[in-house]
Amino acid sequence: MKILVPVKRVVDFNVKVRVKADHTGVETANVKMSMNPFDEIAVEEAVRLKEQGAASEIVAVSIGVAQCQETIRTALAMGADRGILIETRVETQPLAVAKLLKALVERESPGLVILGKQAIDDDCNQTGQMLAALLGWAQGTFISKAKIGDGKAEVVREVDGGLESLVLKMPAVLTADLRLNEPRYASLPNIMKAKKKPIETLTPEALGVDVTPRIATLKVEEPPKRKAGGKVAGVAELVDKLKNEAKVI
Amino acid sequence: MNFELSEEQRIFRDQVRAFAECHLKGGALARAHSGSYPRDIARLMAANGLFGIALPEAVGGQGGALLDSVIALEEVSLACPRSGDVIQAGNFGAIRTFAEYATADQRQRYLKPLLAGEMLISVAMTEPDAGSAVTDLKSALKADGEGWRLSGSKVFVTNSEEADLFLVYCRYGPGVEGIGSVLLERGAEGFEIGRPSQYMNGESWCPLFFDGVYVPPENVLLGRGGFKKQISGFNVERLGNATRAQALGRYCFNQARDYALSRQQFGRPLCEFQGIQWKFAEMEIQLEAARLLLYRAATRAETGLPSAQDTSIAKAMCNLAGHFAANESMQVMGGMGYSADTLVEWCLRKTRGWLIAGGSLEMMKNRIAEGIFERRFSQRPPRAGARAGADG
Repeated sequence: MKILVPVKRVVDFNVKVRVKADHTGVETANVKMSMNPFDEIAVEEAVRLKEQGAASEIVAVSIGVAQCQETIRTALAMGADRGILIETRVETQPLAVAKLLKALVERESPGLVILGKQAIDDDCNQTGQMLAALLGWAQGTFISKAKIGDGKAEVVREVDGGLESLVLKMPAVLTADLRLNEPRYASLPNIMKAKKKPIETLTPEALGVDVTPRIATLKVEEPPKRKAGGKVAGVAELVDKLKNEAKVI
Repeated sequence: MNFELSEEQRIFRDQVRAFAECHLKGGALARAHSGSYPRDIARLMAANGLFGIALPEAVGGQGGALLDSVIALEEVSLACPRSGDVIQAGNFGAIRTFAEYATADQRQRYLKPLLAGEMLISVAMTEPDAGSAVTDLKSALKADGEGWRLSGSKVFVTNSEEADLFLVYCRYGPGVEGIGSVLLERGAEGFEIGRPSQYMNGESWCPLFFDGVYVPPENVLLGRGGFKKQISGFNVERLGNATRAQALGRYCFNQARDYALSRQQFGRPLCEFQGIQWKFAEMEIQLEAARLLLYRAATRAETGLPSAQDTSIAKAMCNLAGHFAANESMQVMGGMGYSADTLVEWCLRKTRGWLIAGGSLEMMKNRIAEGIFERRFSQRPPRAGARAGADG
């Protein structure tokens, strides 16, 4: 079975993001970029499935500028077998990404697509669901456990108020939550071996997908600075303020 | 000329950084203040491929280049300065000289536990009467059947309180040509490890006493004439020393930068005072220059051993820049920098030591001058009838 793992290049989670001076977005020039952490978990899960013998090939795919190749290379260093870069300078929104992935699925025929549940830049949390809908496949989102059996996948989902266990018919789309696994660090020998693994470059046009954004961003602003809180002398004053100022009790 | 790291080097750097941020940053203060060698960290690093980075995969290493180990040492030191010493022990220290010259049998016995972080090796070089004039060392071997008997003593041996194995510089006969080295295990009969003393940085060192310790022939690392080879290996150790000095200076710089952005005095953040800005500009100039020289020395060595000239220049510059940055950062941070609540004061003490250890600043300058004039300059007093530069 082949597994397709999309990986997104995002601003590193350690970077304190700054809004661009013209308020059109956040600053990404000269900012450290990394693989979306949830996608790292997705790659790790695919690699573990391959190590267990449940998968035979892992294809890592990224969509965006040429530098996304480095994100793919990281996935290859973690254990993916080959990469596909869909190169575009257009800001690809979830629906466009889902359509591109659908086109790739039709070309590659994987048995499983594992995505991160969301990207930490726009926090959309839409691509996996949209892809499953476009393909007409079963979907297991926010999964914290996955067991791949004969023609079915048993997954545990993290939902509000508890855990939900599902059995999905394969092929299926899975999206990884934080507790699915702890991704490995790519070792130096594997990083060097990844250099020799192939990365194919495609374009949205070649896949026949229109990626024109459907949503326009009007303005990006920093959240308002939090004001310092007040201090109360004792319980009596606190109760008084909760009653009369905040009116919550 | 390309000043960018390659894609593989960048990915490796990012992986080490993520590892260090996740596993090392948290306990940095406690680890530095504890004084003992963190074996748990050594095992964790070994399990994550951070030991033997520049050693061939065939002997259990990671198959990288010297610059890869420099990158790893930098990243680890920037997250946890004390953990840098563990990367040093697993890549740059005696382990490197050992791996370079060990016989297949010696590798078989020691390299696997060393690369797993289970065993720690120290280099015993300095003696009470042989410091910078290291070729004056007196620890000597006497033939005993197939093997040798070692007598003498050593001082200022890093990690001596905890090491399991010692790479001991010693002599088979007179002169520089008589110097080689042997491997001694802790606990060998006649091998006494004395009472620990403490360095300014909080680490301990013990005097070592050899009273006719039997050295079987299979524990000879380098025989007569091995000194030059050992010093070539020691140049890697020096680059590790240089890397940490530079990285600890950068660590302090980062702390001071955050502080200068947030600390308010006279109604404005410290970074708005030009006197403070110029301190940062001077630190940046020194640290960047040091790093370029370090990277050059490591890059030219590729997977082999770096040249003495490149190493001396890089070490001198990194030692000075690291110590300067630690000192200036402390000045910027005032009482907070002087307090043991941050690691700036620890880094200052630590970087001070590297102006002495691993070849003092003055010895590095001597070596650089010899490169400039393409002549050997003996430091010994002239003797009647002796030509200058005849010995070490």
